[in-house]
Amino acid sequence: MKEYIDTGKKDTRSGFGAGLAELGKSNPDVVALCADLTGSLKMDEFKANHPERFFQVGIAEANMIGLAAGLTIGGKIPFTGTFANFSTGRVYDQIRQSVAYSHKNVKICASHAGLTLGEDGATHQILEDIGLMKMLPGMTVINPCDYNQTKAATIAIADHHGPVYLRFGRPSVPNFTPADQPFIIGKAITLTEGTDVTIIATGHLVWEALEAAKALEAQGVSAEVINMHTIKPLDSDSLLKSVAKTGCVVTAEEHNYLGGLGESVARVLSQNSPVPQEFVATEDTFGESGTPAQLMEKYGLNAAAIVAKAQKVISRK
Amino acid sequence: MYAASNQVDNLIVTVDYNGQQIDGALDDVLSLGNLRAKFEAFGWLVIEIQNGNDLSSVISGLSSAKEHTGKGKPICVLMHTVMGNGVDFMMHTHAWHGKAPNDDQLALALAQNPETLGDY
Repeated sequence: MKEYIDTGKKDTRSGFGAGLAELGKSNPDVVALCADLTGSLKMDEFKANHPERFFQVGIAEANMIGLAAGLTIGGKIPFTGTFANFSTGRVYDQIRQSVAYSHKNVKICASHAGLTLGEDGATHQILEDIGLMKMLPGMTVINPCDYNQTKAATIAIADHHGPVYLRFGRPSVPNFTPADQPFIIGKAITLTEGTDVTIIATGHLVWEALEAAKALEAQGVSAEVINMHTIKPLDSDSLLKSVAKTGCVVTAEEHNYLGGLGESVARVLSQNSPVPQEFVATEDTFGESGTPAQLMEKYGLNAAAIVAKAQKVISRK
Repeated sequence: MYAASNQVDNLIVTVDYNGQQIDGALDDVLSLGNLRAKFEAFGWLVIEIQNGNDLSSVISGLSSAKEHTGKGKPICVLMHTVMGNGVDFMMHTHAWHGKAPNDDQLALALAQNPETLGDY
């Protein structure tokens, strides 16, 4: 099995900040808006270097989305920044009416997604944002897996015309994908090749999927791990090509099993190649306060959970 | 809040203030209270047009608003209007907020406003 090395833990939100800072230098049309979370979103460097292109909107997320939609009309490429909860649920109406309906070129960049926000608890953790965003016609939904990939995705979405939801997180997690990688929206990355089970993971769960694949290999099980960084549009070709070999799937995401990556995968499978699937996801529940590791274990979102679901799905073939 | 805080003084917002909403008169559903004071509390300059259905009043009110741009405050034009103005059965009621006239009602309404019938 191909080995992936953690080059040092980093938070994905810092990948966003680094990507945005680079866009500040390379693309004069990029502007940034933030709702009183500049430090948390790591937008300080962009703000310091380009104060005339940075808009501090205060705790007024609905206004931020409206301003961003308006800025696109003059040809700007606005990147909005706040927590995932406030980026989606709080402003769903503004995104739907002012951004998605008229296909505005707004990049909704959302940190602190999922359980790994940690101690702030259920009021701030969102586990339904992928669903909310993927249901909007024309919205692209991306959940990169580590610092390097988040940086690459941030840079890539500036060149994509249309609304994008870019989801990332708070904690430091293994950084294992290449620096300065090309990021192709909608093109999944096969990390390990295998024949017994396909593990399709997104976001923080990609590293856990690799850990699970190692554990499975030790048990004589050959797992194919796919990094499905783009949830919409979903890379159906990669998915179907893989299940043609393995005949079963485990999906893994830091999200409710309702409305997430798993359901998107299930739709493609049911229409094209029905095979057994198991879901590593939260089971229609809110989160709670705790450390990221405590919560990921309690809610079954780690390598051990993926291994267990892989064993189960193989037994159903 | 954002506009006033950032002195966006080339912005003019017009409120078509007709006092009706879909469930009834605004004051019967949920009063807005003193809307002028509310805008002013948010740092806006407010200009009122008492008869927003009179074109010359509207033109002079908007001209006045334009003259006040560039002075550090966003501007709100509160335009007091009558919904369905010029059609006797549509005025002073909320009933037409959310529906369109049928063919007979349309003919009746247009007959009360012959100046609107023209070669477009």
